[in-house]
Amino acid sequence: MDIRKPIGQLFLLLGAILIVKGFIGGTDAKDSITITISLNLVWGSFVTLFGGIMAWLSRSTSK
Amino acid sequence: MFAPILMSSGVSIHLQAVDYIILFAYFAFVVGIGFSLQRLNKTSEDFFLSGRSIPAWVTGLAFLSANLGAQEVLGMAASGAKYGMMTSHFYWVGAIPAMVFLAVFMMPFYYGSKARSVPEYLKLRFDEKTRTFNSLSFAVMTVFSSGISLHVLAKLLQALLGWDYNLSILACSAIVLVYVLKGGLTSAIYNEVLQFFLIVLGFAPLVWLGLRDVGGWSGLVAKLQEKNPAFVHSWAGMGTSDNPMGVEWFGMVFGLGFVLSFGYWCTDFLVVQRAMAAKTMGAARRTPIIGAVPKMIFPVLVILPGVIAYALTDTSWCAAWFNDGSGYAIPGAADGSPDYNMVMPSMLAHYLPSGLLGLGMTALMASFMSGMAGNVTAFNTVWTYDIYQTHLAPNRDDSHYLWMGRAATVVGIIISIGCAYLASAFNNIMDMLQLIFAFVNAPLFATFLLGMFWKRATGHGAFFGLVLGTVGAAIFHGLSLATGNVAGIKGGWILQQAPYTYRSEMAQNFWMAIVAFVVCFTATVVISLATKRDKSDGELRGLVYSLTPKPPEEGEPWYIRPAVVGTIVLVACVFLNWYFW
Repeated sequence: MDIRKPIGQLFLLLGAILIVKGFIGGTDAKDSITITISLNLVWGSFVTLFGGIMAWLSRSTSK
Repeated sequence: MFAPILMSSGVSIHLQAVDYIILFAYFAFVVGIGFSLQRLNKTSEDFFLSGRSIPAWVTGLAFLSANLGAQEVLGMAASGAKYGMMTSHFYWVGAIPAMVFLAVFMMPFYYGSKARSVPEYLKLRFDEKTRTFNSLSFAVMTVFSSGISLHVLAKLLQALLGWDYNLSILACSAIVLVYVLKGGLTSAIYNEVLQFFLIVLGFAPLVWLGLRDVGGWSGLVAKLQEKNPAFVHSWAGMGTSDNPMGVEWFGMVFGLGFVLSFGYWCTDFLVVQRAMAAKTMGAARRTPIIGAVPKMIFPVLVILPGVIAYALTDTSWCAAWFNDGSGYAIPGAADGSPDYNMVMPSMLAHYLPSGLLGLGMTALMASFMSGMAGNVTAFNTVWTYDIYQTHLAPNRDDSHYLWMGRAATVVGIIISIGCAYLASAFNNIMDMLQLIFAFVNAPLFATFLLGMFWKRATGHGAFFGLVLGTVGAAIFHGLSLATGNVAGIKGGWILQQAPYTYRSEMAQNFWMAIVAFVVCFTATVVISLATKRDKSDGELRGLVYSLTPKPPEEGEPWYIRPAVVGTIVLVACVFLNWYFW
């Protein structure tokens, strides 16, 4: 089993969860931190991208 | 003058549903990986060594992650808050050079000899008694380490989330048991790689937010200069032991940088096993170097949060009394002293919103569970091959040893649970592990060094050198004590006082390692010269450097050859030491 496949799947899932939370939670900053962006949305997008790359690599190698 | 009190009501983390979803998704994946790999484990070599089939990038990341357990994540952040930039020595002095040495000089012997474990190499090179001594001491060490990981994890979950301590131990043990039992070493390796990416992705936001809060890198340096200038330097101030770590440069370089570092990275089967699982000799040699590259950068993820925590904590008595809780502060223990082990969890709780918090907590738990799994896989291999097959049940079918490996996995977890309840004496986890390593690993590296590079070393020399080295470590421990400690488990137990005192437990441990190494090395040389050679040049071919043809480069391009890449890595390491002088 190519390890990139479960890695890709897991981080696609985790990234999606963070993105959904980001949309639902707004800026979702802690009270002590002033920030105007949704951390979950931004980082979730990055995590999803990473997961997608890993999943793609596992598929392209298996062909 | 009132002593400053770090204002804290205790760290607690309130996970929301999204955080638990992330956590349980991770649990489901690690167990699923174990089940997916079950069908691949047809022989004992499949179970214990992944059939020697893993690509270098996977074994390389696993090599790094196998070490990335509780002691790294919590301990490094704790040490960062306690010692500042000096903590980087554990990486740039205490890891990178040894990893390169292993790749360039030692892996050809481990992999080329076809030894299935590090103790088995000792049997091939020396004799059975040397192997047995090492395998027994290693087995004890791995379950201790596994127990420490488990204890710290359960304690953390209890303190942070309010989970029952005993239930946490049982639940986490059960998850590790399932995926190691089903998938063997391959499952452990795959989960270690998963853990690596989780830690990077889980902690990176924390580092960014912490740096932002402290005013960026320049703001961090400015705050540290104001509070404790020694915190911004890794080497300045090490001319004497009058520095945050209480260790002078000689103890650091030779105690940590040479004896303990090489003793761990070059001889500890937990990490070497990952390289042994590689698919080719070239892949096995590249494994430690692939691991060394992210290892150099990991201080950013695990040490920097601790340094930021220290910079943000206002330790003046006035501010502490009137702390309104809006800023970050290192949590206080029950006695009012800083609870450094809670630095990382408290930073996660302070900075990360739900969602990212779940990711960070999952990364934290992954590091614990992988640490435990790594120790269990090393234990079940050493038990099965080096103890059970050698002494108790030789010449059985391979299927029997496969069965025994699974049984040893179960027993190893049970023993780890028992050890978890014993691991509570040291405030800083790193100190305890350094003590254990000093007892076991420090003399061992002398044995390997002489074994691999001096053909005259004999089995009697190796065995008695190991024994005397270990005894030497114990005697030194019994005669030394760190300032502020009382005679007992911390040392000084021989005379109930200590003729040798050190500014810190770390300094005591480093010097104990030096003593153990010197005793073992000297004893091995003397006894070897006094005893007959027990193996001919022909028998030592492939086991001793001077008698072994250099491994062919297998048509590899020059830029991926271990010696070349290793040199580049070492140069980068020297640069980092210089830059943070």
